[in-house]
Formats: sequence, structure tokens, C-alpha cells
Amino acid sequence: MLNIQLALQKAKSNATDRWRQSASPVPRQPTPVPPTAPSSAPAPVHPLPVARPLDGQWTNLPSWAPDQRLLKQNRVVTLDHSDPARGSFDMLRTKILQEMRQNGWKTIGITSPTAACGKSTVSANLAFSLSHQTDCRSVLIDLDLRRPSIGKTMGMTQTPSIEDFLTGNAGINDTFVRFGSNLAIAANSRPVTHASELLQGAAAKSALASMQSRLAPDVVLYDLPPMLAFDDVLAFAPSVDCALIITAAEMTTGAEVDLCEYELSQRTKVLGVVLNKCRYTPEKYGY
Amino acid sequence: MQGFKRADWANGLMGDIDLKFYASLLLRRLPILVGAAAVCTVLAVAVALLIPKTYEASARLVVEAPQIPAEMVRTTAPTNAVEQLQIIEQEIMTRDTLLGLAKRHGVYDAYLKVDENDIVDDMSSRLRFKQLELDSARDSAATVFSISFRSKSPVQAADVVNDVVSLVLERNVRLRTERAADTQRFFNQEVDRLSRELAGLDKQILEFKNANKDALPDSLDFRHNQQSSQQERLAMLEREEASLRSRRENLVQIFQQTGRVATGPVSPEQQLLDDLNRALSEQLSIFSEDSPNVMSLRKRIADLQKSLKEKSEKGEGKKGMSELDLQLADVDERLQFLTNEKASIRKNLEHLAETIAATPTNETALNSLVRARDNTQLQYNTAVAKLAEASAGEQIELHAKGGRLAVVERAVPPVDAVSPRRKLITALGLVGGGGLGFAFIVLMELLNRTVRRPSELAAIIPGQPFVTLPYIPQPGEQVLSDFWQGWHNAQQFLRTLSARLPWPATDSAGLESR
Repeated sequence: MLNIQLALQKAKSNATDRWRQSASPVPRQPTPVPPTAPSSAPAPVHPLPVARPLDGQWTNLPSWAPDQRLLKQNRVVTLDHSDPARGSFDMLRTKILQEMRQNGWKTIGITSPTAACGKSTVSANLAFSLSHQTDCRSVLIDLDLRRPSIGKTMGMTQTPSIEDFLTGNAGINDTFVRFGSNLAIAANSRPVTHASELLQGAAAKSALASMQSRLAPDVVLYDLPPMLAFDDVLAFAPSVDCALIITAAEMTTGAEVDLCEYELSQRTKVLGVVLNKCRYTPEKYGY
Repeated sequence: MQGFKRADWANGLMGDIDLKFYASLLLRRLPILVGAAAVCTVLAVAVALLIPKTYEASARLVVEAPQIPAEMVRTTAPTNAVEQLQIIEQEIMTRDTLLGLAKRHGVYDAYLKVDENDIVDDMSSRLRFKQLELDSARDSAATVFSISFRSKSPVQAADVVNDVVSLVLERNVRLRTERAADTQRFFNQEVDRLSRELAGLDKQILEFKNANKDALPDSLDFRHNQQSSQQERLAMLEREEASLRSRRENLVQIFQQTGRVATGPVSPEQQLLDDLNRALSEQLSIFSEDSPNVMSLRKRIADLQKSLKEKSEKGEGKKGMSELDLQLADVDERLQFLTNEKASIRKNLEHLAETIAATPTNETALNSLVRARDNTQLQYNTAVAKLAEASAGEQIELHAKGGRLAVVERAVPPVDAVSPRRKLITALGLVGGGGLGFAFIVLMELLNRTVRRPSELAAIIPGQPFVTLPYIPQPGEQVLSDFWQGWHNAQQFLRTLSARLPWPATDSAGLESR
């Protein structure tokens, strides 16, 4: 635990400069657009205030609009302003953004000790929550190569192969879809058996690096597989700036959390541990 | 700030928040508790129904206080009711009595197949003697006993109890009267023995007195008087003897001198002769020898002398000699008599001296005899008094006036069974099942190592969780309250369980929802 905090402090101290350096030289001019009434557009989401002008790379991405009912079915709630659970995700988003901006981090891996903790659901919710942040470009990539689930969660009908993208066989435009103006999503269609080798390979690194340089996202969300099942996360962890551990209440044991946290902190910065599916919420947090 | 938070958290641990958490846990696990309680209750009910019914009949006995106050007549039988009943209980709890009871009432169907020892053990466990505690502060409160018997049949239970009660009563009466009679018999024997002893001693005393009747201490004074009077008499006799001897000597001397007995009686002729001689001498002084008077006197004297001579020659011979002899003989006879008398008195005195000397010894012997008799008499008196008491006591017992056992209530066939106490067993099953379920829940939660709430995660990873996300229901999925969530979980568990169980495969596939 101590080394995490030390690492966090260290990272904080020398990351602030990096953030400033790597921050885009052009000052962003957010031009808030007043949102139209949601009743005017029932199927698509309400129009978002676009902060950054769509450059060529982003406009080239195929646009995608989710089926909101399906999203709700898959517990993705952050597109619905009235959902009570949205607040928690917005809080998560804001906390992550603050941490990352403060430290100059750009990529975040989302993992969990075991399966079914709700990584993909949290990732999708987080992605849509980030998409509301108009001055921030976000990318969500499904790197759970063994059991891809982002596509299913998002309700995508056609999903590309991440394997092709990572090996360089497919381009960004073939892989990513664009939601709104500032969220690019790369779902996966088929499972990959040699996932860990693929993730550790140089091709994957270069593919991801080219993606970053071309799309210039502020936040890249990697939906990673469960930690304790495979070595994928351990293999990929050094490539992310920070990581978030999702735990499910009444599912994840304390020992698992401890082990994951320790293992992950050896390889990257651990942003924190999220307690998901918590049925018991003290009323003092109620609003 | 941090310190405040910790204090707050500690307060929360004791305060409402944690209690709420545990309450919600309990609510969610409630189906386990309910299920365990239900299963245990059903089992308990089954057990209660399966245990054969047992009926207990009981009779009550009271120990009556003596009807005649103990201050007046004490009964000789033991009055301690508890002790008595304990004795009787031990007598009834004997092997033979119990076997007899079992046989008489047919307590065991397969009587011949059962081991007798088992029967005895079982009977003694079924039969119970109990002293009932009455709420009385006084020591002399009435003592009440209950005798009870358990059986599968109410009538049999009552029969056995009544049989035992009659046995107890009979034995009690026998015990008391036997004791009373024994006491009386003992004192009777004692009185007999003492009276025999007394008679023997009396006889001994009588014999002794007879044997020593002259030397008894009570006649000592008399004998002393007798002795002194005898001695006086002896002295008097000796004096008389001495005077007689001197008179005899005098007589002999006089006779030798006078030829006649000076003394002694003179016959009329002699008298006449003497008179005539005197008259002759007187005449001679006046008249001459030849005077007619003198002549006639002489003649008459001569006649007289002649007749005297004749008389003495005829019968009395020598008259002077025989007179002396007579007188001497008289004196001798008297002397002889005196000698004899003296001898007898001496003998008497000797005897008296002997008896007087023997008296102290006799007195001692007699005293010891009398003492022995007095002692015996004392014992005899005591024994007689005791015998009277004992016979009074026996009379009390015979007339059943002493403290005795009486039946307050005879056993009647009970209506309700004492065992199994179905309500109790069911309640125990319910409570036990609930406790078991609760214990199971507690154990489950203790063994549950999963993270359930933010504070638990915070205990593992320092600081609060990064963010706590609530459970997000799907549209149409209601967020159940803890209680219904528990039931829902239980339903799910049962479904998966029934799906996993090897049912005869019909449509179990349909049940397998997940």
C-alpha cells in the first residue's frame, strides 16, 4: 500500500510538467451550445455541446448511434439524465479526469479480479459519461480479447476484429466507430486465443500508438480481462498510465482485491478500487 | 479531518449505520432462518406425533396427625411419615414386588420375551414416589405424598397406582401395628421375667428367714431382754438352790439331833400325843403320879403311843425316819428340778448368745437379699408402667388413631397424556430451528470473505473506495427490498438446486432458468 502512495506522489510530482508539455498547444475554445429539447430527437441522444472542432481523423470514423433501450437493458445508464445511478458514474468520471489531468495520464486500464464484476458495463457507462464532457475526447477499446463484451453491451450489430487492428491488418476507420463528436469505440467481434502474446507484441504497441497519435484522445479506456484468470492484464499493464480495479460487492473477496491491487501496483499506477453492484449504500450519501 | 473521520466511522460501527447493515443482512438471509425453523418445526412435530402417548396417573396420600394428642398417650410406632414412606417405598421398589405389579396389570405385552432386569428397571423408572411441598411455613404442616405411574394406557396407569396405594396402606398398617405389638410383647416379656425374678427373690428371703428365724435382726431386742431375764432367773434359781441345800443340811442335822423332823407337818395323833404329853407334864407338876388324871393321861399317852407305834409299824414304819426322808425327798426333788431348770436356762442362754452373735451376719445377708428384691421391684414397676404405655400405644394403633397414611385422592384414569408434550416439543423445534438458522447465518457471514460494503473495502485498501457504484437494475427489473431480495435469492438457490439434483428427468430443463 505504501509503495502505491509513494508511486502516486512521485507520479504526481513529475507528471504535472508532462501534462503541460503534452497538452495541446492550441488552447481549446469551448463553445457551449445550448442543448435542444430531448423530445425533438427521440432515437438519437440529445445534441452535445461540441468543444473541439471535428478534425479529419474523427469525421472519418463511421458514426454510430446506440439503441437506448438496449443500452438500458444492458445497464448502461449514463445517456439517460434522469437515471439515479448516473450520478455515481459521473462522479467516477470526474474523479478519473481530475486524477489523469493532474498527473498527465492518458490511458487507463479497467480490470477486475474475477469475471462478471461489471467491467464492460462500467467501461460503457464511463465512456458515455465522458462523452458528455465536450472538451474531452475519449476512446474505448475492448481489449478483453478472450470474451469480448463491449459490442454486446453497446448493442452493436457489426463489430470489427481487434485482433486485426492490433496486428495492423485493419485500420482505425475499420475498427472504431464514433459516437457523437468525442467518443470513439472499438468493440471486438471474435475471441482471440493468444491474447496475452498479442497484447505484448510490438505490433499491438505500434497500432495503439498510431491510434493515439491520430485520434489524439484525452482519455483512452482499455476494457481489460479479469486479472486473476489470465496473464493478459499483467502483460498489458506496463502499457497503461494507470489502472482501475472494479470489484463487485458480495462477489469479490478481500484477498482477491488485495492480491490484484498488489500485482497491479507493481506494474502501473493504480487509480483506485471501485466497488460495483453495491446494494448497501449508507443513507448519508443519499441525495 | 482524518481523525474526525475515523471517530465518525467508529461511531458508525456502534451506531445506526452498522446496525442497519446487519439488519439488512439479516433480512436478506431471513429465508434461511425461516426455512431452518420450518424444517425443524416439521421434524419436531413429526417426532412429537411419532412418540407414543404416555399417560400418568397419580394418587395422593396424606400423613394424618395423631388423633389422640401425643402429650397424653404416646404411640409406640414411628411417627416420622417421611421415614415410614421411604421404608415402604424401598419395600415396594423391590424386584419381586415390581415384577408382581407388572404381571398383575399386564404392563408388558411380550412379558416373557423381555428380560426381567429390564422390567424391573423400567417399572422403577415409571413408578414415582414424591413428597409434595406444601406452601406452609409451619413445621408441623401436613405431609402429602404422591404416587404416580406412567403407562401407555390411562386405565392401566390408574390401576397400577391404586394397587400400589393399597400396598402402601397395607404395609403401613402392618408396619405400625407390628411395631406396636412388638413393643408390647417386649414389655410383657420383661414384666414376666421381672415378676419371676421377684418371686424367686421373695422365696429366697423367706427361706433365709425361715432358716435363720431365731437370729433375725428384728428379734434382737427381744432376745436381749430374754437373755437378761433368763440370767436373772438363773441367779434366782441358784439362790433358791443354795437355800434348799442349807435347809436340807438343817433337816438332816435336826433329825440327827432330835430324831424327828423339826419341821414338817405333824400328824393329828402326834399332835394329840404332843398335847397329851404337855398336859401330862402340866398335871405332874400339880398332881402326883398316882392321881387319876395322871393315870388316865398316862394311859391315853400309852394308848396313843401304842397306836402310833402300831401305825408306824404297820404302814409308815419308822415314822420319824420317813418323815425326814419325805422332807429330804421333797427338797431333793426340788433341787433336781432346779438343776434341770438351770440347765435348760443355760442352754437357752447359750442359744441366745449364739443367735445374737449370728444376727449381724444374717442382717447383712438379708439386707443384700432385700436390696436385690427392691431393685427388681423397681424394675418391675417401671416395666409394668411401660407395658401399660405400650398397650395404650398398641390400642391406638389397633384403632388406627395414631398418625397414619390416608388416601386423599385415588388415581383416576387421566384424560390427557403427559408425554409427549407436543406443544413443548414443537416450540422447541421452532426455537431450535430459528436458533440453528440464525447460527447458520452468523457462521455464513463470518466465513463470507467477500467485500459487502465500502467500509469493508476500506479496511483492505487504505482510504475509501475510489467510487462506490450502486447495483443497476435492468428496465423492468424491480429493485427488491432486502426482505424480498432474500426470498428471491432463496428461490433462485432452490431452482438451481432442483436443477442439479438428479430428478427423474421430466421437465427439469424448464426449471433451469439460469
